[in-house]
Amino acid sequence: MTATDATTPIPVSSAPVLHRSRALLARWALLLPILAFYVIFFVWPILTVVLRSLSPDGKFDAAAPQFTIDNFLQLFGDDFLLLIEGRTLLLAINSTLITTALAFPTAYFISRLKRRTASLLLLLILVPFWVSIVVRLFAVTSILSPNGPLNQASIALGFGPLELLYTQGGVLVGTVMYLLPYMILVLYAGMVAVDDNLILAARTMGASPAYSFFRVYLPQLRGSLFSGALLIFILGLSFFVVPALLGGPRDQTIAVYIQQQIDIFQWGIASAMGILLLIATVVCYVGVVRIAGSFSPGGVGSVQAKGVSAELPFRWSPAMVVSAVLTVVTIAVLVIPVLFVFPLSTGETGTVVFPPRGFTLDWFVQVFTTPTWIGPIMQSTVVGLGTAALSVAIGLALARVTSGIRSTAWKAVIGGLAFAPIIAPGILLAIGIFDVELQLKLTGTVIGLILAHTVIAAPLSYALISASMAGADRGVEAAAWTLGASRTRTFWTVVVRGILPSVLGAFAIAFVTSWDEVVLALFLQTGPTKTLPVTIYKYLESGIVPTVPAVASLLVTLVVVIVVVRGVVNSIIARRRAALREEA
Amino acid sequence: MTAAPTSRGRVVASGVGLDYDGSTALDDASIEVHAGEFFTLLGPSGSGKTTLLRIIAGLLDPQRGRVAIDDVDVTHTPTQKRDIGFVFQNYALFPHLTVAENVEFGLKIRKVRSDARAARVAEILELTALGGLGDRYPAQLSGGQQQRVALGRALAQRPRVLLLDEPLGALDRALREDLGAEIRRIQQEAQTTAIYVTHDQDEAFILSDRMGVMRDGRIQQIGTPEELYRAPNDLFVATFLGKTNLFPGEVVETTSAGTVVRIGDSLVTARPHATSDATSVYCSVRPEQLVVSDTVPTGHHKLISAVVTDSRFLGQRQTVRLAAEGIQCSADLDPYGPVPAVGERITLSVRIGESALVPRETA
Repeated sequence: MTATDATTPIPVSSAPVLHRSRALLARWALLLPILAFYVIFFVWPILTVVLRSLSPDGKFDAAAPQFTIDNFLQLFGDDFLLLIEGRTLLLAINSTLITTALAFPTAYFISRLKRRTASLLLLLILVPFWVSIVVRLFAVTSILSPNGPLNQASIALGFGPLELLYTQGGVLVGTVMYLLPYMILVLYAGMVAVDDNLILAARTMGASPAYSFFRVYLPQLRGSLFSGALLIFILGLSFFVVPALLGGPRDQTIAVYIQQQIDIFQWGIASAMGILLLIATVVCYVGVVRIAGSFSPGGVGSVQAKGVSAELPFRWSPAMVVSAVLTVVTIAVLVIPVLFVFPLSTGETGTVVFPPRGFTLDWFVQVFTTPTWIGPIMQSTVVGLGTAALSVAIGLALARVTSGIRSTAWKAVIGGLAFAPIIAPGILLAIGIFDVELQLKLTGTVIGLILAHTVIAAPLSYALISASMAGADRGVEAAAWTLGASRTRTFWTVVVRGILPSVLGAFAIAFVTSWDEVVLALFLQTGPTKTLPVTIYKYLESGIVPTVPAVASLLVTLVVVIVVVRGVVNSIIARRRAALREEA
Repeated sequence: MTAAPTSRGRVVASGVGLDYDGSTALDDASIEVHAGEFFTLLGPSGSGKTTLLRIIAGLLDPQRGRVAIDDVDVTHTPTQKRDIGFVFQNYALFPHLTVAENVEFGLKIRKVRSDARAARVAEILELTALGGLGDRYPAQLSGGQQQRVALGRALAQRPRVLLLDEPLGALDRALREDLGAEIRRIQQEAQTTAIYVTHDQDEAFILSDRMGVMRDGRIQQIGTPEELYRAPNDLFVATFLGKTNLFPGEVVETTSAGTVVRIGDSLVTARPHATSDATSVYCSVRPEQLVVSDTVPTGHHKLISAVVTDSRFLGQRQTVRLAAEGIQCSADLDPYGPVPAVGERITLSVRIGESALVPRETA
């Protein structure tokens, strides 16, 4: 007797299919509230901006609609507006080029290091990444200010005073600082995925290191390189906070101009500009999808250091030396602003100066004892927790629905729509949601801000949850059914329990997104109490008080603690898993 | 241990069919499994055996036909209300629960009191030889241990029917034989009906009371392992179960002793050939049935003349390859008896009324 082939694949998909009509009903029951939410807080805001951009003076009258393309004609006819558009484009191009030039060697250098060192350097990139951009910009303004360390050094060396703050150069530095982590993470992920054996194979065939780098290694990275560059170009094009804070009055970009116009309720040109940004973004996004095959929001998955292989060890070469130097520059640009807040926070003087005079911790005490900061801390916490809870709920429901769909086309459509809010230009979303919430009388309310933050946080939560739900064993779910567990009970005690770490991660990422968010919060908080980053933003506009550096250093410390705790927990879990495996 | 009444667990599937992505996964299959029976669905991959099992479990909805357990129609009953146990190919143990908690899962859902629950868990751990491992997590267990947990978990709430989907597929050969015997022992002790899906005929032979051979979404034949092996209904069953030699022939007449078939210029009496009207048949002769000699022994009929092309000693048997007028065949001989030399011309014969006839089908 002979056995047939020992391992046969299961002929039927192991995904359980049960009672189609009921499953379909449950699917729609989950989907409808989410759909309503997306229509009200994403589709309607964009639609309202579109309608305003096509209406005379930006005033859309639903009773007697009048349409004109005057606003768009003006975008390309008015010299002043053309200047702003050109400046924005130039900034986006320059910052993309500089960021790529720094990020590529940095990512390459880190990818060639031993695992331990690589993890450490990645931490140095991740910590600034998670620190709110407003906090980092506060440090940058201090460094670039006329009495900051750079200017002082320049005067001491006899070069005379430098004009750094409120210039286009300053804006460029700030934008690059913001974009660097995104590009490094995208490139690093691409580089560790390259099979070392390809390089070894090229060598066995007689290729020189330079030849195998350009003809074998680089082609593998083409996708990461182009999609990463397009991603940061999109971000740079509609970026608001850096040009608003670091640029002078004559350095307006599109985003800054939009905000100024909305402040005086001039919607026409502002709306048209927002739509222009949207079109540019969509074009670039299509480019990303065509190059990379799909879009994955940067920074969502945890980056794991892979470490260099024994076959292809680290070697100092002239190219490696250059990479190392550029890595040092990159890390300095990222880390120095984050560290700079600490000395500033302990000076005794009533104005913030560098180097600090005297030493005191009074400012920290003041942060926790005056309503100036307690209000914002509470506001940020409440909004963050609300956003996180809502985002996880949406993420779970949406992931539940998409995991049951087997058509890849539908999956792509739902995935694309789900990610649309984080691809849409932030400033466009901000003015659109502002307009909608004005009509719904939600502006200035905590609920209004939570809903707005959920629009941009839920896609990230969904990405995390759906990835781990897709990776989870669906058989476990069917197993619970065969043991008599109801569908609801199975979902909570088996499915959600099984991906609990991702659910917690989804909660954390939504919380941080809300906690750091500036642009939506700037528009929607019309009341006296504002969230932390907006409060800092307001101080940066009006003038720094000594408690600002204290708050900034507390925020940095928080991120460091979270990142370190997470690292330690992860390594403990990994070690325990390894121990379990040895036991078995 | 409380004995379940032996009348529990009769499963009847009638005309169950399912089309899947435009092709037929299951083509109106009917089976009837008696209470307490160990029934195996055997077939190559893609034959629809897992589909049928999943329909019985309620994990898939059939498009046609009905499923009844203990004479109650459960076609539209959701899985969780069917009172079954299911052992998955990859075990599907809950990774966040210990062995004991995995076994306890179904009992908790049925709101069994905690002392009764603990007693039942202990009983199951004992039955599955997992005593002492109750506090371990699935990741800490070997494949064989995980398999036993999956079996124990499925049995804990005394299901009417135990459904097993290639539960030994992920294990290595030696472990498979041990655990296969153990599964049958546990099933017998638990007095539950078992429906077992496998592509491995050794497993099917060791375990089954009866079995159904499946192919292309269809059940080809149902019977005891011995019936299927000795009297296959068709070419597929004859060749899928074990090895066989096929000699094309024409049916001449049917007598009380069996059906007479003409192979070349010999007349051979085979088993009664009743299942088909076909007159063009294959005479299926197992390698161990084939007699190699110079003259035809008494009680045998001559099949054909052949030349020995190869002879191999395989321990329990001596396998001889033969060329018989264009037909390649092989015979298993007693390695302690006389063995013909390579190149020798001999006569092949078979015991009267023992060979099987199957239609020379085209489908």
